[in-house]
Amino acid sequence: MHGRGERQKVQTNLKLEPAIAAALDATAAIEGIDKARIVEEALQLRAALMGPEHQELVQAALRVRGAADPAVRLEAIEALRGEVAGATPGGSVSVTAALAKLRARTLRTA
Amino acid sequence: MTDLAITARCWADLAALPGEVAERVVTAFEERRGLNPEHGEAMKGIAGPVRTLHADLSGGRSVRAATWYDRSRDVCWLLAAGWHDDVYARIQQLARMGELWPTATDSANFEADAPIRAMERVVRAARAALESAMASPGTEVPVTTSPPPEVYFRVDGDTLSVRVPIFDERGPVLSRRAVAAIQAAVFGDQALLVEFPPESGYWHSVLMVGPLPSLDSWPPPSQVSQPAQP
Repeated sequence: MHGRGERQKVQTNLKLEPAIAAALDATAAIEGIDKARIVEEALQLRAALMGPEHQELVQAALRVRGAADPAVRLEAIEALRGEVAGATPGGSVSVTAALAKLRARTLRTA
Repeated sequence: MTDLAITARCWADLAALPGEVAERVVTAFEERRGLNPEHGEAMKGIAGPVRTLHADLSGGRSVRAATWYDRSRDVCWLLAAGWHDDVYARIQQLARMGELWPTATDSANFEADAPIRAMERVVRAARAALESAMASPGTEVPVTTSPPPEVYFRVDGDTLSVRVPIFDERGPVLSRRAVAAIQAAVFGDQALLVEFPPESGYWHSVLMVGPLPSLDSWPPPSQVSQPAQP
């Protein structure tokens, strides 16, 4: 149990633009969760975006765009892909992955 | 801006073609269907519609492919590819057998590719959007808006702000991987300020602020690897 003095005061009177406030209301209604929880999720994401894992993801994305070796590029594509039920390793359907696969094959046979 | 995707079955077609030919098919798909997913002649006798894509090369090498635009998800699929002389008959046969279309596994892989697609779309649209943003300083210019993710540019002096909404009325709309992919696509490895400015009212967006790129060299082209010379 927290005493009255121990309880953290929660900021609830956010000064949001009307359209944003409406979106927050709608999200809370659709998701069936408290508005404060939604803002909390946003803040958690913000914290994650400042962390080392985010930098690792950025580096993977840079390798997808810039790695000279298509095999490195394919590894980076895998690192960047989301976790989705039914998705297969190496099963990217993107143009980026197709070009990297084709170039890797060309290099192997050269 | 339409997304692009290639079915696993079509990948088998591409793998059976010489590398140069297969690459030509994929780049033609990207260039033409990226501009207009409903371009191309509709094949007779196949619902969809399934449209033909010409990807000829020098030396009279005539190559054809088939695409289908899934309007409900705003994605254009590359379904099949091959030499002109027999590819259409094979496409008709695949359609009759129900094997031409994206499978459930293709759909799952498509979902997993969301960060890659975000990067592809931003790169495709970035230059024109940056030109517009530079012509209207202080004004937010859409880079891509539909399907998600949305990305906006704004130029102020020598800085470029990139706003990426991460929540909308349905809840979270963007993963951390996709945000990282967009950051890398726009700013490369440059240091930048990543903000989440509640005072702006953008509680639902992340704001990345970095140096204004030069249109002379941006966005940097994707590396093209060539086979090692003997």
